[in-house]
Amino acid sequence: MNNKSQDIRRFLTQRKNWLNLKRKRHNLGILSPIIVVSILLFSPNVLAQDQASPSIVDQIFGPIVNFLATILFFPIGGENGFPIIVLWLFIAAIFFTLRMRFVNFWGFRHAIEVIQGKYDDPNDEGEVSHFQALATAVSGTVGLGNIAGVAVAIQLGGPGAMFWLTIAGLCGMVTKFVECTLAVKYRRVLEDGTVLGGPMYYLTRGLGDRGLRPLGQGLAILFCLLAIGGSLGGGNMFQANQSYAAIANLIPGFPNWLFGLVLAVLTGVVIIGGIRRIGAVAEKLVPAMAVIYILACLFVIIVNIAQVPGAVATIITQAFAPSAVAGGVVGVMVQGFRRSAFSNEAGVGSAAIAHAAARTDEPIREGIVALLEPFIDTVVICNLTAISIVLTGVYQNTGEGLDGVTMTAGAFETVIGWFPIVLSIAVCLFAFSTIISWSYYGIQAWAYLFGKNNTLIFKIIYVVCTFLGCLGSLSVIIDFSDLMLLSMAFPNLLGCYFLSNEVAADLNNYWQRLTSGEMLANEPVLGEK
Amino acid sequence: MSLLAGDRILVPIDFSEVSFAALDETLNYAQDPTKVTVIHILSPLVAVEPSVVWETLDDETRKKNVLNAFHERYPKSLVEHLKLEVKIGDPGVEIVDYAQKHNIHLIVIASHGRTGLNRFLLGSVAERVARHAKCPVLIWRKSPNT
Repeated sequence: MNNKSQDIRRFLTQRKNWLNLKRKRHNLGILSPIIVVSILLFSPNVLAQDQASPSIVDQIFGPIVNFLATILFFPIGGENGFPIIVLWLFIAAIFFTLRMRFVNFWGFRHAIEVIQGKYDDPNDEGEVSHFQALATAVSGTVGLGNIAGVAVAIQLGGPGAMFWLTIAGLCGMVTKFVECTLAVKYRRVLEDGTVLGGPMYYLTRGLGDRGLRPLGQGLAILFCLLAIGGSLGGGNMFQANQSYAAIANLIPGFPNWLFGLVLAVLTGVVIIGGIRRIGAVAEKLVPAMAVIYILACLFVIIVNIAQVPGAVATIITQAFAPSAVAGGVVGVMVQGFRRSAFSNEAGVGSAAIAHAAARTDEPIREGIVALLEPFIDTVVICNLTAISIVLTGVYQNTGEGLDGVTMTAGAFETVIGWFPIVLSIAVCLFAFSTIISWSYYGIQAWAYLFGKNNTLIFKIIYVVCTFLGCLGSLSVIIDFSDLMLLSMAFPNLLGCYFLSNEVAADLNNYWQRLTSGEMLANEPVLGEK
Repeated sequence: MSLLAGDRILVPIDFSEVSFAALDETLNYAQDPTKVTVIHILSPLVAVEPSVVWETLDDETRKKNVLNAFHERYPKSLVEHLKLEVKIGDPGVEIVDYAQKHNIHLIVIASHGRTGLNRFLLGSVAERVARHAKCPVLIWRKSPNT
């Protein structure tokens, strides 16, 4: 009897140990099949670097892209008309600009005061200051869209595309204002002080308050699915692809799989390994690189100062009377609007996730700060790039190999011979920080759908995609990124339309309190006037 | 109820109403709050979170915030001897490990009883605790009539 119970006990202990072991191995268990499958899938491709044949990446994404493109880019108004998605974004930007009575102009000065910290209150709920939230969001948007994206727009739409890109950027400021205001208003602050926010929260909670809960939930789920796709595409693969292009331009023959591996390992170390230093350094280097980039653009412009009026004139005349662009004026507008949306992401809803973390009890205030984002990104940086490209005339050589970032590099090379080296480094840093920022958006969307404790699978897919991005060809990757990223605007803007009256009322209320001098947090900003 | 007569009862909470109801019920039965340990599990911060990048929030502050939030609902004067633990990690694993390490006699855990898609996607911490714990586990559910 005694023996028997000892036996049972021994058996149970062994089983317990085995179960414990199994539990601890659980994490690796998920990893291994994915690693094995990805190695099997891509090893023949890695070994046979034949540029002529379409890679496996293209074969996988090609049909998906074609299918989605047929729907999203369905042209309205003839063969060269506006694709649905571009029209959707632009109409929203115009609508919000009118509805908020041009807050992008009269709110500008207040936005600057807020990021200077004049209204910061350390006792408010939230994670980071207004400035830090803005910097986080900007490092997610300033990147290849400003360098490669502008070049692509000019290549496909001619210099006139820049004019429309700027107009779209100015109106996009208000779209951004609306979504970031809502993100703070409907965020969830957890017991530990961390914040959950973004379109998925204002879609469910905001529409829920209006008795549209099922619609809100459906849109939130759709938004998260698209955000996951967008983070893998535009936030990740496109960035990886273009930073490889920059390096390959610098060191011809540098193997793409090696670059992809290095980039993927660095990304993995941050998002899976949790090494905080690398991510933090990359995010903080972006402002420095942006300043260097702006200075370089200014240098190119100053060297060619005599041609500046001519370049500006070219941009404006070509905007209305383009030569040799498929689709005429509409074709140019489409290119401008499309690349503007891809560059500043206004209406896409991504930045709202970052802005939700701001430490404030005034949603409108964070919205006003968010106005600055498309301004810095599109109106300032994109235009500097465009003027440099137009000034130096590189856009006229539409020969082979001049796509995306290579064109911008060519523009700098005409003035500062060694500058393409700095540009390549900048591109890699911008790309890396965008990859890091977008992983946060992706993780938040994934966590909303599958729970906070199940994000490891997403992180692994994300790192694998970083690697894949370096292997694919640009055209398929750029289409896939655009599609996923831009389609996030469908659920997001639909929610914003529903809630726009609320935002307009809040804005009025806020502005009244501000101008009446009721709102003097820690410095008598308005009192001294 | 002899199950609740043990010296060490662990009640995991996630700040949901249903988990507080489980805690209230346990305190009622156990009579003596010194027997009850409350545990809350925080998920680890991701390295790409804005607060981590800007170093504005750390685990110590998060734990402190949780304590404050808890005492807002259960004032210190009322639950003076109630022990509150805050751990960081995977809820299922942390609860089971804590129970084992501290010789817990009984875990009382609320189940959300999620339905539909969430039932499959989110899984259940209660279910995992029940499966892996080495002590009795009481899964508390709100009765459907109330």
